[in-house]
Amino acid sequence: MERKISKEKYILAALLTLLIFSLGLTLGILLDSVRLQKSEKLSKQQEVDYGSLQLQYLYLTTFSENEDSCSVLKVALDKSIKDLSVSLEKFDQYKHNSNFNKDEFNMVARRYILDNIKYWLFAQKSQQKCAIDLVTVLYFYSENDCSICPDQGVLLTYYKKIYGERLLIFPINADHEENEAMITVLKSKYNITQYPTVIIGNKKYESVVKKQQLGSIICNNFINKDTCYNIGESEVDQSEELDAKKEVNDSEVNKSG
Amino acid sequence: MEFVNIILLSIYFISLYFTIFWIVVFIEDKKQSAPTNKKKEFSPSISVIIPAYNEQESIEKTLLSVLSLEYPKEKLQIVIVNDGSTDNTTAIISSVIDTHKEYDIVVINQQNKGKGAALNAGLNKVTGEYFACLDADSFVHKNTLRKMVDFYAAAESDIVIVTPTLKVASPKRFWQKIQAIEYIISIFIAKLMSKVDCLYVAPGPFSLYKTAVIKKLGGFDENNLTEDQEIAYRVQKNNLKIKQCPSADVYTNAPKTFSELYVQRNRWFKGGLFNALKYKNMLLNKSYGDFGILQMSINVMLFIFSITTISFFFYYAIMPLLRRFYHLYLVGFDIKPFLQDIFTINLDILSLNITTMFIVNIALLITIFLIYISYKNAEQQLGFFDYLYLIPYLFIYYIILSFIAVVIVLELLFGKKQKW
Repeated sequence: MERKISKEKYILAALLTLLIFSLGLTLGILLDSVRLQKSEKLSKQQEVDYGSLQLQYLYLTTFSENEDSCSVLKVALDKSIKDLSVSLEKFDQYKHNSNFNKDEFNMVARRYILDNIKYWLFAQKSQQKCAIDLVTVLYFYSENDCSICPDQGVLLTYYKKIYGERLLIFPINADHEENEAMITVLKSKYNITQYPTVIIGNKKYESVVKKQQLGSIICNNFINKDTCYNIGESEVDQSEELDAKKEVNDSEVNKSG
Repeated sequence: MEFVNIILLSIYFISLYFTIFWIVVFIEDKKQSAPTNKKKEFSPSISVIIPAYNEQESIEKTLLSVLSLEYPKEKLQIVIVNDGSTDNTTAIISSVIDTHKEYDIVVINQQNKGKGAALNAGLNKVTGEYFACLDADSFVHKNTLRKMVDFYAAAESDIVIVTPTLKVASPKRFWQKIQAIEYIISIFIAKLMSKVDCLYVAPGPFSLYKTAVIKKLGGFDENNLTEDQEIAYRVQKNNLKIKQCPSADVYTNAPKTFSELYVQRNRWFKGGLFNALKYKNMLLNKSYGDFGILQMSINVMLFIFSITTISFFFYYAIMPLLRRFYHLYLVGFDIKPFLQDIFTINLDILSLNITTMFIVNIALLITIFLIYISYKNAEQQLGFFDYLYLIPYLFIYYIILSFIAVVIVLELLFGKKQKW
């Protein structure tokens, strides 16, 4: 028999496939830019929130006789940090699903890092000024060079779910260090050489801090320890010993900083 | 874009392309009318070769199905090749012959030599102008032979193999139900392949061959795991035609358990791989038309796709699952704090990977359409419970088959001895 090549069918199939694929890609590109726009909007909203917080703090320090200001500041701080973590979570999802605007997303990611650092500093300052019973965690991680970082992330999320607004976690993606000098400044202050590393109460804990130990560290940093979640006394003591082995004390930190 | 994404998109693209190609063939086919130049009273002599090795469970039913064929008895020869059976097969064959002495039945008793050799032994005794092979675990519908002969009469003269529409006989168990769906879809795909002369298997159960041509081609390959596929490749290589006869129903016993399925698919995949390698010169060779350009590419790509499918399955499904389990272990399986989010539904469409979802959903819709058309084509209806089996068929079955394919590739790479 004479062999045939169904050229028309090949071409038609190719055109239809390209059409479906182009539709999918166009939809993807379109949504990607919407994602980017929304991320930028969320980031701008954070800036405004931060400006508002700063203003409240200025007001508080200027008119310190107003006793209610601390509680107002605490509420505003809680809300802003909650908004920050929600929008950061959303941004991470957008960034993860983005295939086209990587550079632009990286730029927004840097802005989020700066926001986290700003809020971390602000939270510490407010804590001192108003004696707010909260614990701040500065969490350094890497998406590229750290396979165990998600483990630490899960443990931090676990305690965040338990303590809510009383535990403030500020994640810093160290992959952006090259473009963001502030990360280098913080890394050098705490002498961070590996990931994950968490800074809790000005103390450094390297590698994955296990559930019990992390629980007791967080608990020990609260002013009111009665509200700690299900940590027995012996466990706290045991963790304290572990703390001693792992932590870098304030003076060492200050020296290296 | 990451490398993994590029690979994934390429796989989506190629799969979508082939699927759309077959839809184009289907639409084109609907425009064409069926052959009508049927010769009146075309009843050539037919031989049916039945190779049997330890088939005491099914041989009687197989023989009786052949003896019930609506075809002139004087034009029918049955050649049973008892390939060294050690069970009760020999006795059952004798008892069936004793009660059907009006038929021309030839029995060859030989030492076990394998299916290819058994078919060749039968082929040597064949007197029919055409011959069919019938596995001893398969059963032919009484009007199937008539339909196939009529098809030969109506179609082009250069056809040398006509294939049947193979279905699973009384599927009862889970794996049989899944395979029943697979076979129904295969009938439809084979129909489309037949339209563009791309059939590459002449199923063991009741493919009808032109005796003189097959003898000229040297009969069956005795050292081949899938001799029914090898003969089809050889026919294609000689630029001869293989066509599927619509509604020529033949039923086969499908594997009941996973281990039986594994053994069967292991043989099929290995045979498929060896045959693709044996006929590699046909790949992308224009002299073989669509078969060389399209079908050989699909046959080779199926193995590559199996390996990538299983890799992605581990990467995107198994590993995250293991990671999640490890994370649960890290928090001492205390899921209470996470329960507060359990009823929070994320309705943010921007959080989804729309490009992938769009392409995957289009592919899924096409597959559902394909299943619908396949059932219509096979004149079968899906019962209420059959719909449930579509879920494992669509989402699990091909992952399992891919896994088997990967195991086979590894076995071959690491030199596991192959029993022929």
